[in-house]
Amino acid sequence: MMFDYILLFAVALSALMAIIQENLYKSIIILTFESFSLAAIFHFLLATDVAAVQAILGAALLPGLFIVALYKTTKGRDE
Amino acid sequence: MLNNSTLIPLMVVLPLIMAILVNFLHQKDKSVKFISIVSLIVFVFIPVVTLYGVHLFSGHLRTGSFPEISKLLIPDVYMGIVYSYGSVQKILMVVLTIITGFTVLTVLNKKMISGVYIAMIFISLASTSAIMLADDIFNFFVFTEILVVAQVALVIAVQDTKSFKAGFKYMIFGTISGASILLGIALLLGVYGLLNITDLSNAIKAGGQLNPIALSAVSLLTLGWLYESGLFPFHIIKCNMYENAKPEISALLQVQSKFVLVAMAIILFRVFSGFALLKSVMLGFAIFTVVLGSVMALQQVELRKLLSFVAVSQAGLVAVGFGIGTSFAIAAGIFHAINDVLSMAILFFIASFVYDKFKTTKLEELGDGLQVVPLVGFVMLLATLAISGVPPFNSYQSEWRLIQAAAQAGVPELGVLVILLSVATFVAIIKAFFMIFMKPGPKVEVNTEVRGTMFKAIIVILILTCLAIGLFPNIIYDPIYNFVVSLGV
Amino acid sequence: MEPFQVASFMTAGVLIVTGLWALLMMDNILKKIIGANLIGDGANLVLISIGYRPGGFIPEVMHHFHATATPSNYSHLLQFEEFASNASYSLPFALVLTNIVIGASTLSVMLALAVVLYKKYHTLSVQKMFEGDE
Repeated sequence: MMFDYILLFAVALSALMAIIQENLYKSIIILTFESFSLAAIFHFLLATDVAAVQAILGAALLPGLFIVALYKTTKGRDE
Repeated sequence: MLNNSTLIPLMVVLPLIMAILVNFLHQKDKSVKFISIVSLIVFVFIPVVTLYGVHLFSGHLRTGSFPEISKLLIPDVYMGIVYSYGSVQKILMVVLTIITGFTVLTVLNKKMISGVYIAMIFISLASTSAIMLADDIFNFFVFTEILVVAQVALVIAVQDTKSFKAGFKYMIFGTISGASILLGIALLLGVYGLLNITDLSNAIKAGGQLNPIALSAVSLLTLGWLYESGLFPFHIIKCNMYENAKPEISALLQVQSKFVLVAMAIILFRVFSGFALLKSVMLGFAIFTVVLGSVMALQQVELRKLLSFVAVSQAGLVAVGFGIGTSFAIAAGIFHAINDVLSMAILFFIASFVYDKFKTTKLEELGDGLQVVPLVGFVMLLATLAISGVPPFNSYQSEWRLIQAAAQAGVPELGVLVILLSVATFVAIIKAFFMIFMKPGPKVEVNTEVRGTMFKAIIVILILTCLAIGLFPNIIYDPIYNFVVSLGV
Repeated sequence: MEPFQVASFMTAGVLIVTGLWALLMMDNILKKIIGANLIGDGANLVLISIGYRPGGFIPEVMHHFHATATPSNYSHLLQFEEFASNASYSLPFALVLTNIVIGASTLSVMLALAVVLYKKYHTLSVQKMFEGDE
């Protein structure tokens, strides 16, 4: 019963923490957690198909792209 | 099978299919050229042939009755996605496909042909057609997002640092405006349960007094409208896009921006016809754009930047027509959009020719153009007269109608604004004309192998069209006026 | 007035405001892109929360939808009365699916542009990249 409210609070808090973080790798990991919690929230709002799509795109594809972009933009690592 | 109702979505689907095909054939130049030219002829042919009508996707009809749904205020709703094709859509589609055809012909004329580039042009054509045709507000939103990505792809193809920065800024603000349009749609869906524009306008009219949630929705949608058309807070971003793309692509981008302005303003007026403040807000932003655009255009020293500020200020003038709000003014605004698009296309094609032939567009480095290319200089002089509203050309007819509409609506001061804008446009572009073609310039190297026959043919055809519309305006104006009156805004 | 739906609206508001702040105020270009992602997430959460039917906040539009099922070729659905009165309104789900995909493609184009801009300027700071522009 309380679990969904905890998840809502986790989404809001991790969104704030993701943009305050200095280290960008940590920021992307917090963003992954936020997207996954958002997918769980979608399930609790009775939208399970949307939760599946959000979990795939928001927690697997987009952080992958972010990490590739971050890798290519840190000093001394561009080919 | 291929009846009239199938031809309407074909105007959106066929450019998308051709874009995928041309993209697939990326490195094979001859096939890309052949398929592009054949598909351009088909794209111009379809809007001319299609009759007016409505297309219901998957055959979902308008329903008979919904007796027990408590808050649905109207008895008949559309049950699916609807595209509607009227007289204004026909005229705008024909103009859009013709100018797209000219741009693609110019692009195909160069040495290196890229299938991906032409695919992006086709995708932007498909999105703009869908924005004009759609009667479903979420379908309209999806295609505005696709249009942003396609336009950014066209701008960053120049592969210059400034174009990357322009594209990035455009996408950053595009996220904000896309989110605000989506939130407006969400609020309308929550209150009325409808996504179809015809049904929404009937439901809001039947609702009686103004709903505060609908007020938030209209302000969010207006913010999205300001971004998509390049009006006041976002005019610098649009100008960056126009100046950093290749000029023949800028000719296409400004057509799309003005037609999206017209389509979205018609949607806003149809849905929110009861909100008297909407027109005043639109008028305020439009006047800011006109003033700022023309003042900045007068200060520029580079041809493409000058033309982009002129394009933005003329878009502001179209929005002034919408802001005044009477049927006469709206029809005059739509007519001015069509005229202005044709004249700006001529000027951007001339800028592209100057860039190819003289390798620079900075005005102080150019000069003595009339001795090298007298025909282009003469057409540029005629285009300057056309865009400033000098009598035998088309902008005279539309600006005169705008001034008369302003006077009839009780705001004759706006007539003064229209005249000042046309004077400022004339001064800015005639300065460019003088510095490119007439002044004795430093020795500018001329690229003699650029013959430019395709450019010359295109700009002559366009200036003759401007002259024809100027001499016989009622062929185009009367259907537009009847359409606006039938909307009942 | 279902409390979970109201709480989701408030969380969505926090997401949108946080994303907007990150998009406009942060100096690092990748943080701006993270902000764009958060704005999209907030808008999707608003859309889905609107349709939450069991005692929901804006529910009454499709209030007795199961009782009518007017088009006659849908009358076989009248037997699912208990499901229909407890399920959410499913039209926003289609909108959200489309919007998630649009957001992902827009974000990937922005990331590619950020990588290219880094290669030209060797810094991720927007202040230094855009400093000469008017």
